[in-house]
Amino acid sequence: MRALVTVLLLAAATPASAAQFVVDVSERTVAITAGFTGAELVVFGTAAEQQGSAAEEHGVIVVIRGPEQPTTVRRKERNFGVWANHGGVAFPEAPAFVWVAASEAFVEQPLREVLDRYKIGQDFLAPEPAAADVEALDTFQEALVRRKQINGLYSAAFGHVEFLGEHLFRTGVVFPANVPVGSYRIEVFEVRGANVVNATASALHIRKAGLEAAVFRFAHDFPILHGLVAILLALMAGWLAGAVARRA
Amino acid sequence: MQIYLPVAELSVDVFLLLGMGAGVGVLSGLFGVGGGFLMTPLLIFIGIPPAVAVASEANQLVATSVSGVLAHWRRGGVDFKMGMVLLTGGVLGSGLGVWLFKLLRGLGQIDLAISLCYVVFLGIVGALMMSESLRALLRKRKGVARRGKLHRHTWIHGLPLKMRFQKSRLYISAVMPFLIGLLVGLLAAIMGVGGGFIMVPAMIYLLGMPTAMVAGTSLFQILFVVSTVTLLQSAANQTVDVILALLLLAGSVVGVQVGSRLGARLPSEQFRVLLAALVLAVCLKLLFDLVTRPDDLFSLQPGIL
Repeated sequence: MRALVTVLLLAAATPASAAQFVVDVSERTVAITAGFTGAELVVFGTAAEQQGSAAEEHGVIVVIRGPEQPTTVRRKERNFGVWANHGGVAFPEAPAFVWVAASEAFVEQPLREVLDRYKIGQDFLAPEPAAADVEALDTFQEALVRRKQINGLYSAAFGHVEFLGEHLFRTGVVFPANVPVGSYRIEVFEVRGANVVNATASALHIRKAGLEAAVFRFAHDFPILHGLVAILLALMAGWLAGAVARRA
Repeated sequence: MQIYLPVAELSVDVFLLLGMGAGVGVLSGLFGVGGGFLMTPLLIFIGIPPAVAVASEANQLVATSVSGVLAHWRRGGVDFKMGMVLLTGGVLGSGLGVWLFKLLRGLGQIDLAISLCYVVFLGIVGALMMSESLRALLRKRKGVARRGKLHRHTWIHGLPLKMRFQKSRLYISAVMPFLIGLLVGLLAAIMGVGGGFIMVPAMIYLLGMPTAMVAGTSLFQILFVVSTVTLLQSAANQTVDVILALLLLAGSVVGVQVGSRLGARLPSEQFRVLLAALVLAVCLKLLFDLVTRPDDLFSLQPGIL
């Protein structure tokens, strides 16, 4: 008991100007239910250093990465007058979702430098392919990013981290309706100049819930039984429709 | 109102699915076809993954065919013996088709295979139907009733394993119906169709079955083949989306009733020309998509080669 009181006293004695670097997210889990059309989350926290206190650029970078999903990029070629898939490159560790936001001081060039230096999100910018000797590999890498951006799963532009006062920051992230399920990582970096001064990582879970989850699990865990139930449901519906139509 | 489809893993407007079900249902009722050949391309067009579209459409066709079979059975329009022979081929064919589907999906060629199958079969059937119905229309205009031979002896009658089909009043080799069943089963698994549009002409022209038996017997075979496809796709690929199938079904149940009532009031010859035109239009659209340069040459596929 005495030890706890001491800890509390020590915590209270910490000077207010040097705030703690604390980050949280508005929801720890996102449930995909029947009416799911996407979700918007807020990542917020306090930066340890004062915003705009020193000459050097200071700010926060937020990176959200989805589970790694093996993905194959296919390229179409014209054969006998028909466009067909011909050749492809597999990316065994392509993240399913990538989203990056930064405060005003770190947009475009400086942000890319920081990202590269600390290998933040580098794997999504240049996924490591299984076959490294493929011709025009970079076009496949670009295609992966481009297709994912079109599907809304990779951020096409950097989001904005907004500062409210000197320490408090927040940013909103939108997950589209086709967001893959799994464990996501939220990484937040406090940056001064080109140096990361504080960093935290936390998890976010996106999962199916309710009827959607039950149906999906049933289809995958008991595929044969699921097929039989699907047939039975259709048989009953068809029979019922016929019976109603005969009455009418 | 959006609904999240658990197996397709995307969210779609409920009313769009109900509307598609109803629209295709009206056409099915009007022309007496299952409508799979329209529904599967439509589903793929609105963004449902082809594998899910094909498997879920098979599931919906179970419902569409069961009420048809029951209606024909009550009128004595089902030749069960012929149906069983067709079915033996059909079950084997659909097994083969689901296996082939899995193989082609792994190779990244399933979309192409589906499109090519559609172009080839819709093209053949559409052209045949168009010429046949136009000729019928012309004959009617001229008022000449041409009577053909009652029985034409062709190479089909020389095949072994002859069987007697009392209900259809036929004594023919079981090989031909078996092969027809096999082909239809194979196509059902790959194209997500019942295959009526191929089987009905085959039964009339190749087997020489009486028209009264054709619709009921083909629906009998289709019911079991699409059930087999549903089961096998669910077991092998986990691509049957029951929610999707049920929504389409709800729309089509209403549409079919509207369509069949409309059909009774409209002249059938002119409408056969329309159906043929519709089949050819779907065929040409798919062919066009295959030969024009796609906007993006690249596409993503989950999983590793």
